[in-house]
Amino acid sequence: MASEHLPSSSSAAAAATSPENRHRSIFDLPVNFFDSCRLLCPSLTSVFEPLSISENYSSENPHSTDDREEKSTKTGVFFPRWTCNTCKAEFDSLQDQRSHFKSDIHRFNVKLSIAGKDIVKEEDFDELTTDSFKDYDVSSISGSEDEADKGSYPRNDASKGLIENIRQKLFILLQTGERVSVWKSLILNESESVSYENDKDAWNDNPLCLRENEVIERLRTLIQEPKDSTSFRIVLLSSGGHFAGCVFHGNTVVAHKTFHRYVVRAKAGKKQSSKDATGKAAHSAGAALRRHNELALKKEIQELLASWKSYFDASSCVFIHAPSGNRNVLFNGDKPCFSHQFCAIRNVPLTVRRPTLKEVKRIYSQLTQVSYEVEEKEIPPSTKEDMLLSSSTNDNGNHLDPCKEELGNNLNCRDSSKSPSINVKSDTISSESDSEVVCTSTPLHEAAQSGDGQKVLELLEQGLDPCIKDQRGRTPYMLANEKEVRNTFRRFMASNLEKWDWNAAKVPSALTKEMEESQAAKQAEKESKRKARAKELKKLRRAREKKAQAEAAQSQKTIAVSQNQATVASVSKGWQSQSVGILRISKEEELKRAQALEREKRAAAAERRIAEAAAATTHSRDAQGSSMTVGSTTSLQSKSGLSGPGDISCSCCNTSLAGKVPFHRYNYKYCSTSCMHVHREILEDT
Amino acid sequence: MATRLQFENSCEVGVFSKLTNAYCLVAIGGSENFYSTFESELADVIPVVKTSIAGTRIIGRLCAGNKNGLLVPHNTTDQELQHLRNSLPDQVVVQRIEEKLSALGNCIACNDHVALTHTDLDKETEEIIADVLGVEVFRQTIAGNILVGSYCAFSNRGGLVHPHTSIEDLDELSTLLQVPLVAGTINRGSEVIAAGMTVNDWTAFCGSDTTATELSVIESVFKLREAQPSAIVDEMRKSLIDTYV
Repeated sequence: MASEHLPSSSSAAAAATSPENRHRSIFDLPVNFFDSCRLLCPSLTSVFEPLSISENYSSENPHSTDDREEKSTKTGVFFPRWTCNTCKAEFDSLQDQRSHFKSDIHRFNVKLSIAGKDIVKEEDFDELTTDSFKDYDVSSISGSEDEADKGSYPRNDASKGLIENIRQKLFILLQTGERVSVWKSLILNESESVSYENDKDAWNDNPLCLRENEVIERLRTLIQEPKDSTSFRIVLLSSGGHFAGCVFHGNTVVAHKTFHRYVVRAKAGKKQSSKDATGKAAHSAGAALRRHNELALKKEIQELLASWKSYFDASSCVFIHAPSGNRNVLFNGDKPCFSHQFCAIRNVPLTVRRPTLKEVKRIYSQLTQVSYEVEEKEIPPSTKEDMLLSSSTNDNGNHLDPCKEELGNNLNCRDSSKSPSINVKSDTISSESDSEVVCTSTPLHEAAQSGDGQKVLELLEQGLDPCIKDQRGRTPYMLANEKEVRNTFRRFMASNLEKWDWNAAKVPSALTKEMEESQAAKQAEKESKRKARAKELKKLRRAREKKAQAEAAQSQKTIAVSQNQATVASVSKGWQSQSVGILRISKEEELKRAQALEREKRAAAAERRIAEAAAATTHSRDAQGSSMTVGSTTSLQSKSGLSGPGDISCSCCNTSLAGKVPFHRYNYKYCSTSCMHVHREILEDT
Repeated sequence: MATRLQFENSCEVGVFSKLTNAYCLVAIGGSENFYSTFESELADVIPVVKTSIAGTRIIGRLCAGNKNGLLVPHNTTDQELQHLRNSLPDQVVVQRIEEKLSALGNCIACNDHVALTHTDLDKETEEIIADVLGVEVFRQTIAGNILVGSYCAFSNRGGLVHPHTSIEDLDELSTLLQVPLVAGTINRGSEVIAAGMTVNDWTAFCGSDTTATELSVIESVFKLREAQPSAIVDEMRKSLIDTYV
């Protein structure tokens, strides 16, 4: 990148023009700005350091929400074909749409929307990327390089470094009663410190302590600095193979230069030289490359610094950020490459990201800006002292964090109550939190989902809102899998009908005591009815069983008594065959034997019959018929002449099945299903 | 037609395989069941290659490709790259990408003409995707998910996206991709579409948990029912046969 002259940086211009902006460059201040001002001791000043990014958001928000509403009404009426829903844009053709989807602004907006931020419009894109969205600088969009360490956001820096900032800033009470703060390093050298009225000891001991009037004098000279003179400030950043240097005059960039060389070992981290310093020198091609690059970078930087000698000579101070080994590059051992007696070398008190021109500009504008502090007097001195105490004594961050967070919260609250200009911000915050409430999972959701009715009731009684929807738009009631939990909701609804919008909570109806009682009564009634029916059925079955047994016993008796009587015999044989059939299921051999016996008997009977009435045709036909029927041959045979083959009786209760459609089970026929069940049980019992 | 299968008791078949119109990559499993299912469906049409990528079996999530080429992440070993070059057809370009997002399958969703990519992919990677795969590259999200490769699967004939995709997004995506899309699930309600299935223009492989309804949605949106050879005869019968004797 060649050195070039740039017009006054746009951020400074914006700061000067916008009346709302509470950060002004120190070079834009009127000459009498610091007249009759007082320096404030840090312990008395506000601890609130306004976050520049959030400021920008607050001023940005109403604009974009309006936009969105406008678009949404549009889409409600008519849905155009070629759109980008992320960027809320419409296109005339597929080509336009496709080229939009390849553009940087689309990618930028996708990133913003994923991060939960508002999108930017194409018109605003250029200034926004250069100006307020510093964490998404353009170079990260068009090039891949800068994405590696984009983790830290200025927001976080600001909140984390809140306390650190206080110590590195000067707080000034203006004539008008406003409080402003500037970075100490803008006017003070590293070794210098400011003595406040209340600590006289320090003043007496230390010759490098500055009095209040000296500090203010320095500030005055700073803003009264003649615009045409050649007094420069230089910012040099160097880390991880990146170097950025920039010469400023006032807010104007006079010259700048950036270098990048591949020196950091990929994945392993650290520079090649620091790896080599551990004693285990690698001999890979990559290592050689990195070693060469390191040397080349150093050479380039030193050449540049040499060529900038005229600037260094005319500069009042040089701001340097060069952590660890990078310092060697700038200082060439101990001797600075740009040694000059009037030129003070100061460290950058801010968090510095990857050295780029943009970053240099950001750092410089931060360093030279005068930020207005929110006035507040109600802070109890104890909390402030605690805070400062903890900041000075406690080095590990874990312990500090909750304290800081609390502090931040307090400050936010106070802030919103204080000045009307910040009300916009607090409004947007509250609206954000509203939208968050709509889509978060609450303990009530969890309790409902886990089926913990007791917990649900407790939580409801504690006043948790059952209308809150989780991320997928489900209310706690919708998540309840178990009936008891759902009933808990409905019971609570019955007792607190007015408390919530139960319609929104998706609870269908209230469940009162009476309803529950009536339901229980209904249930009990049903149960008793069912029991009675079961009992009745059992009784009936028993009766039938008894009857069948009695009949069987009787029939056996009759067999014993009168074997000769044909009619009786036929009935009894029928019964016998049935009993044989019963046995057949369990004891097949027995059945076979019985069958063989039967067959012999039958054969004998047939022979007898043939002998008796050989001529009788009806007899022979009956015999044929009987031989054809399988299951109840014996009974039919013996019944021959008396009853037709169609006349069948129920296997259980023995009633005639003539004219009925019988129920079949195995070879048995029944008059009804209940008979079938009874008979089955009899069979199973035997 | 869509086939249901499992990879060693896992239904995430899209994780363990990569199906395109020109080739199919299959993870090396303990049993041959998985491979042979692919083999029986595809063997006479496209090569089915058993491979690992970066020594892992989750090849479907690590690589991205179509009929023109195959992109593999930087941690692919030289042996694997050589094996892939040897096994794939000559016209398929195999390229290893230096990209810090190494699960390319999760970051890139593509058919033979367009690709959706993760917004954080490098510009260089985007150019390589465009060159090697011969596609137009769009950076987009699916229902707010930045991992476009995981939450959608599309072929040249249709596509299935995350169930929470809004109608507007669906319309927008389908005009952008020029294929019909539906929002749906796979594997009995899984939202991670591409992990549960792998699809090309004529066949799809889904996890064995996929329900009949999900399968029928897939078959209809990817137009797999008419993709059979017999379908052509049925379709053309009317025009070929003038009169029946």
